[in-house]
Amino acid sequence: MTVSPAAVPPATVPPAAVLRATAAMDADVLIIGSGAGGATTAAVLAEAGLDVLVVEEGEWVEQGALVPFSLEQMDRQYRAGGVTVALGLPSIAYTEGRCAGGGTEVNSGLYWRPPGDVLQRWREQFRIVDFDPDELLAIADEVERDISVCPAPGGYTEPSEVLRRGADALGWRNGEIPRWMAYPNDQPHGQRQSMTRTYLPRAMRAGARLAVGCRVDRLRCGAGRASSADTTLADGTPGTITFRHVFVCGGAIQSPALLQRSGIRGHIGRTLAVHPTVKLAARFPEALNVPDDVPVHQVKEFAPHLSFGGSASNPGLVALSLLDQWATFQQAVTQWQHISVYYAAITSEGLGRVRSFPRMKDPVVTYGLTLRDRALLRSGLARLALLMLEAGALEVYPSFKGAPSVRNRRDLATMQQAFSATRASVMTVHLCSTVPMGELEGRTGADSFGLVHGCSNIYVNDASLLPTAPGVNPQASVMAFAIRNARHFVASGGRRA
Amino acid sequence: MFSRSLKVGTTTTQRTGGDAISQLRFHLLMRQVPALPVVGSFAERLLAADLPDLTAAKRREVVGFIAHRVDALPSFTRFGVLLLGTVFRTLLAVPGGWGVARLLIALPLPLVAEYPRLMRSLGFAYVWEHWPATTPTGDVAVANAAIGEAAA
Ligand SMILES: Cc1cc2nc3c(=O)[nH]c(=O)nc-3n(C[C@H](O)[C@H](O)[C@H](O)COP(=O)(O)OP(=O)(O)OC[C@H]3O[C@@H](n4cnc5c(N)ncnc54)[C@H](O)[C@@H]3O)c2cc1C
Repeated sequence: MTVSPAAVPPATVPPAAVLRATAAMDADVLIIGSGAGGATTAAVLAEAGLDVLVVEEGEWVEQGALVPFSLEQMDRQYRAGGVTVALGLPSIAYTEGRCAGGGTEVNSGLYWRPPGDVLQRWREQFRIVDFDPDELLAIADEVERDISVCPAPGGYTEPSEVLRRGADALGWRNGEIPRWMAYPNDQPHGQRQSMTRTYLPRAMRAGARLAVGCRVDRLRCGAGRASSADTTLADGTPGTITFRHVFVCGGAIQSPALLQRSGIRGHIGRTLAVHPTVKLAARFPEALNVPDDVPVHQVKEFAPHLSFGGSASNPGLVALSLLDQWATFQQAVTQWQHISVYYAAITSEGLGRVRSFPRMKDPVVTYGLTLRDRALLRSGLARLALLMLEAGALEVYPSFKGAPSVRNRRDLATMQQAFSATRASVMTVHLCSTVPMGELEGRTGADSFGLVHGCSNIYVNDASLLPTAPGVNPQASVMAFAIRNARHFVASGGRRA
Repeated sequence: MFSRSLKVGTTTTQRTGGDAISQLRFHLLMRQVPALPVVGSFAERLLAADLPDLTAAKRREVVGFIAHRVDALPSFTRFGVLLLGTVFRTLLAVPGGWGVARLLIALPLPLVAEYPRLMRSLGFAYVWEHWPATTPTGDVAVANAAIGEAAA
């Protein structure tokens, strides 16, 4: 599945090749968004000889120019500075990338192929036609080569070892998750092979244009066809883009919101699926904190329902993880070098909604956890705390209001009793399923190749299409489906358009 | 199949008069009321209570950051935050208002509790990212690592 650690030369593009959007632009194919879905779509279509324009709301930021997981990175590469929330009880904080390359520029780079059983289920339950899971996995092979998916060379960081050690002690299945990284000269810190280093330069070499600082406000539609898009440029001035075909690749929140703002109805934005996570901070005898990277191990003993992994743990994020119970946990912040933050993620049965309202720039997002989700979060946090104790943690600080600190197995029971999802800091970075693909009426928003139902030239090609949350990190699934659909578009000559 | 269209020469579709008016209304509605005057006083009081030893200069810097982030919030959330901000600002303007505010934020009221939580999250993240040697009272620890080792 993975290639060996590669020293891939950075595939940078000269900054001059990235355009500033202008008030009037046109293209045969307009692609909205340059993330995992948009960049791959652009490369396939441009290499097939189409006239492609990719517009991206955010800016082009060179990989490595900003400290990963810093507030400055949040300001420049995340939507709303990373402060976005799905309302509910509890509300779920989520983050979206907003820059050239989208989420791929800021994410942890942990690569999981779409699981075979999930693909089968999607095909059957959502009636995805002409869909061969093996074909998708063959595309995944290509993606793995293109973005250099490989294990870390040399040893693991201590926060990663904690996960391995704790899981091994309990006999729980765990392993290193390969990443899309290049390690020039076997340096321990890799260079993320995000879209600005891989598919976007490739698309531009094939003639695609990328214009940054351009938000698409809405598509002008009539009789199921869109012919132009209203835009707002970075300086606030309005603009227009005309096109023959449009691929909406703004991610699972922005894509349905844009379709709704454009007056497109149907099964759009009704089935937001996420992997909710709860977290804890664990303090160890030795200094282990790695402020600018995440552990590469995950614990999959209870997958697909429940998985454990490690979060970014810079001092600011350590303080945040102690916040819910600051009155009793505050002293720990002075020992942040000895602390690392971990999460328990669940495959949720709950669903959320994305709704756009007239004259509102941004959508309202809501999410409801089910009782089963809440129970799973509780047991997940308790098991994760147990794993930390087994790995040698001196003290564990769960992130929920009223949490006791955990120093031994007896404390675990108290913690489990005190836990309530409503009082926990729940968050997610995996968002999908707001325009599910397939032919099943009433439960899909686009056809088996991403063409929006009832439309003849509007396609969605991003995380919105995944019929449900895949139960693993989703970027590989997003990319593989996007490439499959783009190839189908090329092969069928744009179909009904 | 497809033809590569010429990239020279661009077309612009005309916007209708009605659209232009609704676009204008949209921009007027969305015109940002700056967050600092609305959330600033509450954020300042909260930080002073939580981190009493944080210097006034640092506190001002943190409050500026909080307001900047509130300005960047998605429209609906921003509207809600500014609404709550206005309530708390008004409360702080009356004698004894801070006491009532503290009482309010201690109650488990679903949306109201989110407001101080947001202020604290942003503030604490900023403080410890910029000055990691800060103590829980906002003071500057001298030998931070040594304290950790001693405690361990
Ligand atoms: C912090 C974080 C960590 C993650 N870690 C992992 C991981 O380790 N492994 C993994 O597999 N996945 C991970 N993910 C998820 C992964 O990044 C996403 O699944 C993936 O990027 C989704 O691709 P997308 O094309 O749907 O959207 P995105 O990659 O989010 O791209 C959408 C782009 O469209 C732009 N856009 C949106 N609306 C408009 C508009 N109206 N006009 C113009 N442009 C617009 C946005 O600015 C954005 O750049 C993580 C995500 C985050 C945020």
